[in-house]
Amino acid sequence: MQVAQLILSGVAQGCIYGLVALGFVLIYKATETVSFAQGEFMMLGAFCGLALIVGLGFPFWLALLGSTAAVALLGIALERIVIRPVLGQPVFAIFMLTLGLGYVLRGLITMVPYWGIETHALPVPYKGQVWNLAGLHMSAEQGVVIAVTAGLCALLYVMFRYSRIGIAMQAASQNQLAAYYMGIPVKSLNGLVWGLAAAVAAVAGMLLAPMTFIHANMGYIGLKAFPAAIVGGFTSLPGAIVGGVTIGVVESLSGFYLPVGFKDIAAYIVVLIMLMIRPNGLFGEKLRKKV
Amino acid sequence: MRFIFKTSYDQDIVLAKHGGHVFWYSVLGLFLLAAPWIFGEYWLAQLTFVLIYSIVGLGLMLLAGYTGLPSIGHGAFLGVGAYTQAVLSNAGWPFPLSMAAAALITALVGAIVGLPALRVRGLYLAVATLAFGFIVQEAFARWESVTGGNAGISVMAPHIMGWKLASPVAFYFLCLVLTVASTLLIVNLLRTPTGRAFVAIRDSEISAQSMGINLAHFKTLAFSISAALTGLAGALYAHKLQFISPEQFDIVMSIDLLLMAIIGGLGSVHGAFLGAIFLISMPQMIALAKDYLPQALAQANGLQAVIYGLVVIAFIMFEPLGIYGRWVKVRTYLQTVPLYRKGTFTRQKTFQKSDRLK
Amino acid sequence: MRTHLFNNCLSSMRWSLIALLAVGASMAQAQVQGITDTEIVIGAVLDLSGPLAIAGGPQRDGMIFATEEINNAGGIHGRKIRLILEDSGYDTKKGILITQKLLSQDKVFALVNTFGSAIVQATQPVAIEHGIPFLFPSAASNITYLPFHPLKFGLFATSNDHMRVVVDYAYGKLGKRRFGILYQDDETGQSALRAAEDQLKAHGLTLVERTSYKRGDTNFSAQVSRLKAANADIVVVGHSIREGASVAIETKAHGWPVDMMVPWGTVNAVITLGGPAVEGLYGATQFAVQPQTTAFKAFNERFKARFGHGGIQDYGTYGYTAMMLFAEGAKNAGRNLTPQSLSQGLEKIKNFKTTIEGPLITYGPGNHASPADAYIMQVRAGRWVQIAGPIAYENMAK
Repeated sequence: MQVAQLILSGVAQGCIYGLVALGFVLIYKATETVSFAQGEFMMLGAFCGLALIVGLGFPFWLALLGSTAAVALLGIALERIVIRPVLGQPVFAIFMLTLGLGYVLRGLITMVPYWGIETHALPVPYKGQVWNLAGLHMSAEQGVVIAVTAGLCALLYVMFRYSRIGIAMQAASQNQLAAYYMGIPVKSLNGLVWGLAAAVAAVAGMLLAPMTFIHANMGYIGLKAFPAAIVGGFTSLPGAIVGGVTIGVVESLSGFYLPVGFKDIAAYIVVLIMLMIRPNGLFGEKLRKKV
Repeated sequence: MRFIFKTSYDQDIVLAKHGGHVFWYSVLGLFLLAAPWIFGEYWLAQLTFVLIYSIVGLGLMLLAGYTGLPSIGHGAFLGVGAYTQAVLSNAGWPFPLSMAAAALITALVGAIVGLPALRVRGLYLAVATLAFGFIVQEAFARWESVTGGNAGISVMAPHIMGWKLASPVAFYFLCLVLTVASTLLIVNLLRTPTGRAFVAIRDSEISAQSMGINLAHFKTLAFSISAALTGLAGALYAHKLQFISPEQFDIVMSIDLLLMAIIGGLGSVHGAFLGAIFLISMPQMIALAKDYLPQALAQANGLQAVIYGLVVIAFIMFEPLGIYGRWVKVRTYLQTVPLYRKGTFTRQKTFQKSDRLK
Repeated sequence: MRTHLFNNCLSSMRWSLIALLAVGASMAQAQVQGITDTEIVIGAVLDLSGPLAIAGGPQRDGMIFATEEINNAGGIHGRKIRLILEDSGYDTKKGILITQKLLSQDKVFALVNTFGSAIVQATQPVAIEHGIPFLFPSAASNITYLPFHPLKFGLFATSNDHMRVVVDYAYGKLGKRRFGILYQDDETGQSALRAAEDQLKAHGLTLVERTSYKRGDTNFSAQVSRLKAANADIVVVGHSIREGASVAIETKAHGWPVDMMVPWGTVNAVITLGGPAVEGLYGATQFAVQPQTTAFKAFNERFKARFGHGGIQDYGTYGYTAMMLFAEGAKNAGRNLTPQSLSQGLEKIKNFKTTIEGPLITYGPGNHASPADAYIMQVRAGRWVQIAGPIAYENMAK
């Protein structure tokens, strides 16, 4: 009973990790770069939504769409301006570049006078509701997170499987040179992938906001999403969600049953164990090269 | 233009290749020796920090720059060295012994952290080091009997047989001696077969293995040496700050160290020093520049973060070889003018190389 | 001829001697760092961009407001105050570096209101060693005034004191017997934990559950689960603002309407963030948040006009009082202002109060401790309302 409750809250938290990790995996699959800026996109999405709701009076669902679109556009623009010129460089350098990008985005938000450094609550229509399912308590925020994550996964699956753009993205990520030969506009697709990843992060941000409030340091959750992506396998989209949920559940259980301090490093211990036994993660592919 | 005529076998062995090297490094040496009398207390303190961070930079450069093993958890090594020194020094150990112990213990921790390196590469290794960084930091906070937990430890000045290096000048010279020693260590290490093995591992592990280089041995060695240097710097850091707590060695510190290595120039010894100078002087320059900016911009809290990020982005986009890389280009220009060819340093446009199979 | 020269020599020597003495006399005052004929330089290390910027911002406003008030009234014995505010971002390393800069480069006369226990712990010894007064740091620990030193003065209520007050109030007035605590996993939180345990021991009780969180943590469901499983009837959150609101929401999400107390941070942000979930939340504060005197209302109007933003709040009152206290001590010291004369001037302060209602502040030779009063507040109808106090810490069983 207690365990079930803990697992439930772990799943909800894990879905957030999973969504951010999804962004990581999307970008990695397409361009083999690791983007450290996903956490900041999440934070921007939350702030954007806040601005739309509080500043322009949008209803919540419209603000969600609006902020997702806005952050997606930002992602595409950033990819064009900052990432595309550096694509030939070693992974490490691009990793640091996205780190710098994260710094800039975080700094820009805190530069907004008064508003940027404060903590805000996001007014959501389902705030404060608690549902009772067979004895388990689930807050509406948690329920919405799980539902939206599942929906988003289904949407992405359909897109990658059946739409032309999705198949083109898969092609570009598997063999870039061949994709060029086939006439696929690889560069524009890369931009789209970044936009998609940023959009997913923005959705995660707005879902997370009612649970953790909106503030400039929200993006640090992105650090936990790295282990989530690795656990799931960095080349697998469903793996990202599974990895995230795994980490969330482990955290929740260790917070209850283990002594102080284990909750915070649970994610990292899990990833180390995973790297030891299955370096490619739960769903990752093992690549072999014939010499 | 300079042509080096080799007239004796010694010329292959000496570190300073020609008169220019000798001259300029001597000037630098004299300047550093005279620094306490040229600078006031505040700038001497900053210079001491530059030296401490340079030692860390050397360690990180060896690992990430020369062996190609990324490490996002280097702050943890700094912390291990700092805590070891704090505990031993407060227990009364003379500082040469405690610093040696700090370096050794950190080297051991480094070897342990390097274990995943034997199995995974690239991004996965980076995340493994990240995980270790968090775990070690948590260990600092939990192991209260030794580290005092979250309350932190106050550190006294380094002492030996009752003689204390309490004055900033004395401490500065200690740091200077250790920095010079570390630099000589690294520069010479890179000229040995071990150093060449490291570089081989960076360039292509499969080729290195086929040349008979024992990957496990050299990777562990790289981690250990790098950690040892960082631990030594950590010991100095503890004395400089006089107070250490677990939160000082978090991910932010690790990222700062990485930024230092990248901006300085990954893959060069000079890069460590240039990066350290950049890291220390950046906040100062921003503070100075604040006076010239419009009020609204200057008061803003996030200004430093924005400028930091922009500088990193600018360097990686336009000068991936870092400050040292830019200096090499400038120096080549100056050395070969008017015969300088415009395309000397043009970067080849590359398609993405898949990192998944190297 | 020779005597003429010699006389000339002597007279010029005499004049140079007089000149030297004059220079020496002015240097005796000028040699005090941070004091010139026209200004006093004060340094403050606040958190303006980090996790506790929610407190740092109001503190800065309060300090600036007080400085402007003092300077507009003519300054202190003809000297205006120049306040240098720096941002530590709650990062210990940055705080240490900034303090070093303030001491050796900006050459401040005194450090007022350094924010954050870790930074205070690290920089206080350095400042004292340099002979710089370290006044009224925002640290909820008694290192602000212990071990005793003439240049150390405390103002911020220590975690011990506030925690004891809330625990005792919950025991005595609310009849609670099963205490659970959620504390921040750092020195501040841990000393709050110890204070709670001590106070409960005085009543023959122990904590039924203790859980912790890392600063910046946002997910408390595991901790709340533990507290609920232990059947606590009151939850004390050993740190507050964001966390207080989050935990309140979390307990409601678990379907567990338990009473909660926060020993600090009775600011409006808690209500804005927590919404209906924080209704009924208890808190303790040093300075009454909603005093109703006409003088305060006028003060608040001027503050609103200067900074916008709804008027002065909990942490703003602290910043304001700190600067006014400094000014009072400097006034008592007279024109010849040195660290020692400031210390003596501060010790002369008895029953000091500003326009803001708060504890009467008294120092004395050997007593530089923080004032020992707290008000109990509760969130009622979306506002913090004072329901008890001032309660003096001395009455607590120690």
